[in-house]
Amino acid sequence: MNCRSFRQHYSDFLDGLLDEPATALARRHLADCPACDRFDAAFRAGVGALRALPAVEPSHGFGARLARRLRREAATPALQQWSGAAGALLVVAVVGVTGWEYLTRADQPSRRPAAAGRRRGEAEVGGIRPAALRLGNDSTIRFGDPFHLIPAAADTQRALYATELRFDMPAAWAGR
Amino acid sequence: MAFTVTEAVGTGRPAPARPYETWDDARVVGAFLGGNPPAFTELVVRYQTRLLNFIYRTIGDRERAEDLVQEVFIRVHRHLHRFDQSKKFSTWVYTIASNLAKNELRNRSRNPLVLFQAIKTQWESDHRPVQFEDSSSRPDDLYRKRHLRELVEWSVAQLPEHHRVVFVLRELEGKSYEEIADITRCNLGTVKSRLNRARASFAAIIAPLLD
Repeated sequence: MNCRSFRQHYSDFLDGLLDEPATALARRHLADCPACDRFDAAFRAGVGALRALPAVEPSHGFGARLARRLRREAATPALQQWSGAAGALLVVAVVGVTGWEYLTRADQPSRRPAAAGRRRGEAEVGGIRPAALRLGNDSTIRFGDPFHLIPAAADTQRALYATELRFDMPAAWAGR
Repeated sequence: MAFTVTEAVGTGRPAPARPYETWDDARVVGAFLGGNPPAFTELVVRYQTRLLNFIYRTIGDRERAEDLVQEVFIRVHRHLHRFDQSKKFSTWVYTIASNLAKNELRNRSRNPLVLFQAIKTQWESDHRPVQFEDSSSRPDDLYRKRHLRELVEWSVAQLPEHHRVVFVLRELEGKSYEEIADITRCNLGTVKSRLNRARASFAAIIAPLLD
């Protein structure tokens, strides 16, 4: 056994996991090699000193502090404990819906031509009529129909959502 | 479930009676889940010092270690009903402690200010007057002991995080390879390899210091 092999198997040697012939070889190497002997002695002395360190004890008041924290924890309703996660989910949902609306907005072909085309395609296939806010002076703001994502709510909600609202814009607003 | 940790735990007041003292962990856990809140006190008494030493030797900051031990018990209390009782409770509780210690080390490596504060705390505790430690010993013995203690603690702190955890679990906590594998969620081969490297590094670091 050489130094490299000895150090490779040092852990197994320490823990008595080497078989007998390998253990004998390791012992012989240790007796013949001052460098590995020093290595082994340093390890044992270091670990011995480490184990001899006095145990660190919890400070005064550790139990009282823990008891207070656990009482607070027990007094906190489960719903409140999940409020952070629920809030995060809500934000994700709002961002998702807003993004979806943006992508499916029909009257912005120059900004999102592909998305507008996809929405129109879906409306034709699904027979979904987009909602619209029709302004006077021939301008219309169209929205996508988010309710096809929620089939159960679709029938009643779509009827409301798809209603066209008419708003006559005062001429002064239009600069006329 | 209502909670009662006897407030005498860790306060230095006379220890309360421990009706579950002779029970094994599994039975104590079962008693707590079965509606006996005082059983949780027994778990705290059993593990508070062991966990404190494990976390302290891993992160090297006593105050923070104590905060993390509190956090371990909060999590144990919160999730005990989901603990798989076919497994060892000690492995589970050490897994929580090990993860918190690793997170702490990672956060410190990202936040130099925290690291600085930890070093300063350590520095202050290291420079307390010697006579406060053990007034019955001779000064030269104290110096030698203290010097050796500093050397070994410093040597452990030099190990990389994933080596240090395995090293402390094996050399100080006396955990088996299998337990370490469960605690660290590594396979046995990884544990053996990390431990061998950790031991070799520790020996290489401490050898010139002991000469």
